[in-house]
Amino acid sequence: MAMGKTSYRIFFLSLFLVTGTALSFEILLMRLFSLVHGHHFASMIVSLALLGLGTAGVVLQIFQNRLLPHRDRLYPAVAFLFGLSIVGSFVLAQAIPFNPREMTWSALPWLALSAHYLIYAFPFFFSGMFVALAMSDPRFSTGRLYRADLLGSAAGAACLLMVLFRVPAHRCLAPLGFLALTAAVLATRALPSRAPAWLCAGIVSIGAAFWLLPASLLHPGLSQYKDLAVLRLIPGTETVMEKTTPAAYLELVRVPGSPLRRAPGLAADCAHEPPPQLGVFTDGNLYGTLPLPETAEHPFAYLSCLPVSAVFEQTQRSKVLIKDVFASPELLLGAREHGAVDITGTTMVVALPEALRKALDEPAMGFYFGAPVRYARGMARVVVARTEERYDVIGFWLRGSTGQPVGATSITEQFDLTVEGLRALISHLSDKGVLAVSMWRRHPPYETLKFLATLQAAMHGGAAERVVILGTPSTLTVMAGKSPWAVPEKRRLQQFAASRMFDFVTASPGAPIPSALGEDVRRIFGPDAESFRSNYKFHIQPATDDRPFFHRFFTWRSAGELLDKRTRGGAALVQWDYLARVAALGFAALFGAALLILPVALRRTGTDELPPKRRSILYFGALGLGFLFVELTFIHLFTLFLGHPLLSAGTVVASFLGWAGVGSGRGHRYDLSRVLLVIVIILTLFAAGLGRLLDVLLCLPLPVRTAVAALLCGPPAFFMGMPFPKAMTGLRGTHPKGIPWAWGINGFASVVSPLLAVLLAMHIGFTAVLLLAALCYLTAWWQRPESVGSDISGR
Amino acid sequence: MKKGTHHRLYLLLRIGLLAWSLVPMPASAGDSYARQQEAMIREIRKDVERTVDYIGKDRLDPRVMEAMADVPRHRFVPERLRSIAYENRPLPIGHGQTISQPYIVALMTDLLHTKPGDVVLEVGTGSGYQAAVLSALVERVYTMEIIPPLAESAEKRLRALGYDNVTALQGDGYYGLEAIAPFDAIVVTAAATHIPPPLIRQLKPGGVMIIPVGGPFMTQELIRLTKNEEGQTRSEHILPVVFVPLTGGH
Repeated sequence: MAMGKTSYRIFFLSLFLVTGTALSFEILLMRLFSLVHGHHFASMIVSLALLGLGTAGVVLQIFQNRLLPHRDRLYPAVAFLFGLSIVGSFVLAQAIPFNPREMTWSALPWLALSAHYLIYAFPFFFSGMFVALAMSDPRFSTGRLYRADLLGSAAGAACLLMVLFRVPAHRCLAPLGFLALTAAVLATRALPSRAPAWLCAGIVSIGAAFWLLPASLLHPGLSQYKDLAVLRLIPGTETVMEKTTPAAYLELVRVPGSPLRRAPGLAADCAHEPPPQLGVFTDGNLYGTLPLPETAEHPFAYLSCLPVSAVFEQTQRSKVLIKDVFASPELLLGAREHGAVDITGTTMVVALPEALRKALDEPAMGFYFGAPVRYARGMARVVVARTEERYDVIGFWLRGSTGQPVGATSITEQFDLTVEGLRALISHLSDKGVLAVSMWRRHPPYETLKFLATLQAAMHGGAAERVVILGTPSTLTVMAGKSPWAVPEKRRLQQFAASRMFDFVTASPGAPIPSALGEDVRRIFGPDAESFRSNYKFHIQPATDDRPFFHRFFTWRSAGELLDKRTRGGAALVQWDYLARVAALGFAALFGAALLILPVALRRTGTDELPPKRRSILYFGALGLGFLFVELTFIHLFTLFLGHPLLSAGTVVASFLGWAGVGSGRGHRYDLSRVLLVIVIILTLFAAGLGRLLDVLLCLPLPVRTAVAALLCGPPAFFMGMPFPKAMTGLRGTHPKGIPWAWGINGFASVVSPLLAVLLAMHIGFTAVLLLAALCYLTAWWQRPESVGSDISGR
Repeated sequence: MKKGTHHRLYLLLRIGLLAWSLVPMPASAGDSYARQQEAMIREIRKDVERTVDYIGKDRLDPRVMEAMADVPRHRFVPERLRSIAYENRPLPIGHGQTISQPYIVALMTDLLHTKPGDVVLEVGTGSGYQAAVLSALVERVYTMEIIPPLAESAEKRLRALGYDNVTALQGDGYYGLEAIAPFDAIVVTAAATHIPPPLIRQLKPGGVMIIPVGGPFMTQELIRLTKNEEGQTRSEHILPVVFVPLTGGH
């Protein structure tokens, strides 16, 4: 039945709302996972979204004869279920307890993780079904559908990021559910078989009722194991300030009775206690503390008992840069106490300085705000890339790996802790400047050795003469000079260490080796460093921008030995977060096979009705793998360029959808063979130069960088949007019964691809993953549908 | 197939078997707690033998093992977890806290080198299990817990089970117990960012302190601090562990 112009527009508005809500929900899930579990799980969420979308495609293809006649009723029905499942999936997943810290000891968290994966795929199944129905509807022009799809997706991503500045993530669930139900009403009003008004009113009422659900039902809750949840059990704990940002939920907390007293590395014989501190929490995790002055005369006397004070006690240090300043307030206070005239503190939590300034009491305010302290937002290497300043000290606290499957420092990309990142910082030291980095002392010291290996590579050799280490029972402070330490300087540092019973470790040839740590340090800077690193039981090769996973220590070589030691105090040494990623890949493959491949394989279809299996598996599988390899690589590489994984994911996913949509709309103008070769060339060029290009453009303001990122997604995504629809069109003509196969194989490859991409990147780097993507497209060129057609015709 | 591939397949198989072994199996009706406790003791003995490189000995003090065999661990875990109370693993006890793995409890107790007349301070009572183990070995145990509901339930539990030489108190363990100090040994069963100076001051010359040091919810280092007769301290790393934080964020 024909549709009027107004109905046509209303339908497109409905599609716009469905696709916008779906992408918003995808990004919101990353934020909610960060909030609940401390990690954005971007690759897993992209994977589960594709599982839902792919399954919808397969189901529609298999049951098209039964479903398509009822298309007009299905549009509002699936939009309605989409809305319900947005809220329902969250409520259901919350009801399945997932405590990642029990992964060491119990199978239940692994099962819970797989259940969460499956549950969150449902909303995407329904949104995917809506889009798939529309794409197969002869009443709508494909070009307009793609336009509504991409506009909706882009608008959804942009709106969500803006809303998250004002509204906590969990409070976005009800509005998203409501928007999806509104889409259902619009769909039913647009189509000829329109539903009665009472039904529409009922649907809207259900959407409105989402807002009335008990707050506890849609609140992610604070895991009882999070720092803040435990602290709140102490009577008198009060929240001084709270603020919502897209990156984190911030809270400033005071504990009057049993104050926070963070003082890593405090000398055992220190006569001064650390002063009470306010706790800065992001998403319920302790991010840093703000020591409060106790007495006017000696507000922070304990600083002299900390190893970092060695940095300031030896020489006048005027200009100081502190990376992640609220994670190491002792550096800021030490610099102030020793008369620094210019202190720049960087922070990734952009809203934090202003929020703290408003919340702090008058006596503390002077220490943290006003001259000589100023704050710069973003990664330290991005901050220094935009200035010509030279610093006497650049310091930070190396946030340690939790070793847990989730957590602020589980295996994520850390671009400040790569060879290129450290090199950028060192290049902004003055001639006598020092890079001072403190970290927890571990046994074995794999984290310190990996940092030193990265530092050695960043310094272009000669590091042995430029590095000294102060060790306390709990911490190590690495001090790397821009130039080699002079003998008197070294002697003074040694005396400082001796007076506080700290270890003094140096890698200088000929110096005494005081401990096993000293031996390891000597070897990491020695001539046999490469073989030492290669044979070490943990992965301590330098982190690079290409493999920016500083906190990946897992090696398959020693996994067996460490797993054996699990019950004997060795559980802490097994990197469960790496294994959780492998497990997620396993879930994705299992569910992908069960939902995408099995239903198609079980259909009774004559062999001669299908295209050659090997060719279609290779062609559609290569497209699925290749596309997501590229998208995930871009998400990770743009995390450095845009400064935050959420902003990167939002920009890249929306841009890829947009450009690929435009490409697929224009695909009929291009020859498939040439398109595939152009993609191979573009990806090879990007693999060769994207990293360097981004490094050069790092100094641009953020809005310009965001626009550049969206533009850079264009060349590959525009062409990558063509091969799949072009081949499907070909199949429709030659082997219509092979279409479900194509959907299934492509869907399966797309589901495993995001998780595989990140695991591969940890081992071979993102450049290699991009080259693998190019190889996938080369394979697709080799097995392109023209060959399939000619095979059949020749049979 | 390459050797490396074989190795990975073998590892994946092992991880699969490990995952299967992680599924909690309820104890059968005939399986008494006593039998499970015996099995736990055997497990600890085996683990000690296999960690000789870390701890420098192949067996723990027999007195410690006797205490471990006497204390009914199932009474210190939530009722729903009693069937797995004697497995060599930590268990949640509520409020974000855990009861430590039996091997770690035995090891920490052994490292204290306690004698029958000693007075010991424990910081981080939790369910009271560590205090109960210590009570059989020393004259008196003082144990402190900062979380009020945990402190209260541990105090009741210890009293009900007849551990009369244990005094359970609610308070901030960072400052120890100035009124009772000095102590022959101090055991901290919660993670701290540094060794609290007040606790060092409250340790007798010749005394021993065992404390996990490191960031919250990450791998910490179990450290043994000894104070010689002149009052000088010396610390040594024992092994990496994971403890919940010494609440209060110290």
